[in-house]
Amino acid sequence: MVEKTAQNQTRRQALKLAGTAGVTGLAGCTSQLTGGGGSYPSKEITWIVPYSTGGLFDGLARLFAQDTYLPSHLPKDVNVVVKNVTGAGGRRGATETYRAEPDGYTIGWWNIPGFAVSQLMSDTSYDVNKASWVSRIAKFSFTIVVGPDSKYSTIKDLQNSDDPIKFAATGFASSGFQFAVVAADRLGIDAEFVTGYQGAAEARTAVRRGDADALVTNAVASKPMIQDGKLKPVLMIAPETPKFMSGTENLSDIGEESLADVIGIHFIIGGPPEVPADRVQVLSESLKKTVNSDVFTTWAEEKSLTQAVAFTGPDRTSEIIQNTTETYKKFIDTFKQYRES
Amino acid sequence: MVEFIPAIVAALTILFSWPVIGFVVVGTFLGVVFGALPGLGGPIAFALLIPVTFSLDPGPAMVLFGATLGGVAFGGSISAILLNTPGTAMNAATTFDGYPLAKQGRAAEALGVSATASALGAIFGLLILILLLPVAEKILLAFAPPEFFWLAIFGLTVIGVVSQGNFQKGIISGGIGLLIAFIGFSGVTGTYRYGFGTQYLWSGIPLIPALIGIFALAEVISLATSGGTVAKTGPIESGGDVFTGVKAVFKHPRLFVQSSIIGTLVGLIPGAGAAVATFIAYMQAVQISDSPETFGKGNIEGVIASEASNDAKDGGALLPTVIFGVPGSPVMAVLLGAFILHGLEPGGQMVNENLDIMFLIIFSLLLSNIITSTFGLATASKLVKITRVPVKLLIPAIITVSLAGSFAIRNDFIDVIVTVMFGILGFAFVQLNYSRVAVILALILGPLAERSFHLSLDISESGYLIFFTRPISLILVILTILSLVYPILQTRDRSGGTNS
Repeated sequence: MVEKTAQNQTRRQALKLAGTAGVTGLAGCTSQLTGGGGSYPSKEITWIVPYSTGGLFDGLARLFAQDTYLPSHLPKDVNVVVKNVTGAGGRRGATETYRAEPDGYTIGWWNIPGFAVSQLMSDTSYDVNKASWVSRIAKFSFTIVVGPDSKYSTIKDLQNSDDPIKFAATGFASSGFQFAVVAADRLGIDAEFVTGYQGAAEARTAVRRGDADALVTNAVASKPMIQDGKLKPVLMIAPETPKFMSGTENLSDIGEESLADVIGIHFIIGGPPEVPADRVQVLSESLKKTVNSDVFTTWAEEKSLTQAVAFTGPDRTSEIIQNTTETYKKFIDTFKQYRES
Repeated sequence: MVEFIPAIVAALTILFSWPVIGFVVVGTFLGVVFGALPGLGGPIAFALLIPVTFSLDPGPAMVLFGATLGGVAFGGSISAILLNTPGTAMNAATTFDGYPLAKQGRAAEALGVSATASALGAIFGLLILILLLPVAEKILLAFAPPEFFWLAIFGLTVIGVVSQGNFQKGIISGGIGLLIAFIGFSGVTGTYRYGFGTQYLWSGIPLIPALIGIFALAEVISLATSGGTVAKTGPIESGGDVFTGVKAVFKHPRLFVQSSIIGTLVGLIPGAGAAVATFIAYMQAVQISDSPETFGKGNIEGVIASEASNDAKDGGALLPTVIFGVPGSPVMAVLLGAFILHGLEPGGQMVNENLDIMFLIIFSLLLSNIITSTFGLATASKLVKITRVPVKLLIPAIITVSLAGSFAIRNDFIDVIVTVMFGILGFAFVQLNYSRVAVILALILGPLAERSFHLSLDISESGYLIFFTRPISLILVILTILSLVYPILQTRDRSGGTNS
């Protein structure tokens, strides 16, 4: 009897152990799938930059990858590693992000509306409607500038010009060209385009030199030339005018605030389709804490980039992409027409 | 100039403080290593430095960048001379005569020239930069698409020079290079040419993997078939005399000054392509030489021209980068990114409020060039031993470094395949006596010529006349014609002299 009791006790202990092990194992598996229970992230996160080293996308990713930035705000102590995947105007990097395992360990920069327009214009290996959107970190607004000796000084001058306005742009696939087409259309400017400049800096110099009448360009990047009087801003394509362009009209002044949503480069972080929602949330919250951290806000102030910082969470980011895609769908035929003419 | 003095003093004070002076040495060493390894070079070195410098003040950060830049050019020369493998596209012209010198057992002499001409060329370029500051903007604005077009065509006439004795083959090589150059998406026409719908070819055939293949891998195949060592003749032990090379630079002052001026001026023009500077300088060296037929066979003047212009161009390229925010070369584009991330603004703010930072970059570049040249002279006799290593030991090393370099540029295995394909093409060119340099020249200058041609017509209000009605364009047209005609006249003069 005693023996049987002892045997039963041993059996119960064994069963208990087995049961505990089984439940623990099941919990582990479940948390691997759902990310719940604090197991994510458990290894390094790769951040794909679809452009070459040295640019703003690359610089910001490398900044965020530092220990005192994103890694310090993730729930677990893991590294963030930047990987440059260049080519095809950034689409190669976007494709690599899109095709990665949807486990929350690969994220990438998405240039919106650039990559969305690429998808609308031709076959791409990604679909912006299916990617997992994590957050928007920044939005760089654009401005319309003319040369310092230009006869045009206000947006009305451009609108009322008897001659077509020649806009400089880097290429038919560039954001500068696409923004110029949209801006010209929405603002009623009769526009022609001079494309082929090797980079935005060259396009700015071209307007400065008088090759072209105007340019739609990144406001922050143009700041040195604007402050030095080498370019004249005509319209800030944002609801407010930054201090260094005080006196320049903005979208609120002319009643075209909605243009701000579609002109400007959104620096968006996204992952492949079907990344578990809770992992997206963990990433987004960590990024939000990073953006709001003292170290980052101080850095952004020192670099005069505070105005560009524009954090949005997953839902609002998805909305931005949807709105952008819908708006640019209407312009695809126009883009193609200019390209073929 | 007097207004620069306080900024100069401030810059020197920072430069010669600790640990900033240590950054000069570290940056220089880094630059030499990255310059020497094919496929790496300045842009990658800078990009890796950017996050490292986040915690530094802007001044010391820029010292690190300036010093690295100084090391890159000489680093690229080492592999160009010893192994016919230019570390960067800018070092390609050094292979023309540098490598033949190495094969003759005179590698140390070539390295001596490189070390001396590099340092002096950099100093010259930076002096010109400082002198040109007041008129820099006028020069920058004077170059519009028509000028870029003619500059590209002028650069292409170097094909005639490098294919001496076989102009037809040179033209064919250049034609092949142009065909390859036009693969990819054209921002001008909005068309995707010969890309077969792939994403890879959207940006065209990548230059650096092609360069590594056509020079390094082709050389490896040639070495494998010839056996022995790189140096076929010449002094057994020392590989020549490095101080002969040093003295050679001082014996050709006119050539040195001319090459440095060309390097600085062409480097000044953003979009011209820094490699163009070295090719044009080389071409001019051939044309003013008493013995042009010796170029390409180990003429020390060829090394002087390419090295002086290569280092002088950095001074030139700094100017539009710092003053206008327009990158003067690929590595300057990365430097511009570093400016932004360190809160530095090119342009008026740089000149009015951060002039000391600009001089810090200039002085660290200067100091770095002096350090690399000293290093080069001190170690030349050791470095040249590479040319005495049996090729069966060299070949695996070159292949490994070359293919790793190709992969490292974009982490793309297809770049490695491009390198291999160009290696085979390059070997075929060598066997059939076609110019590989002509291919690379066309690859670099073809897109510039096409883009500038279309842009010129787009901005022109007088159609094709825009190419002939601007003063600088006309000068470049005349130079192009002279460049084509002069060698013919020279050959006729020499034949006439021989006959009489």
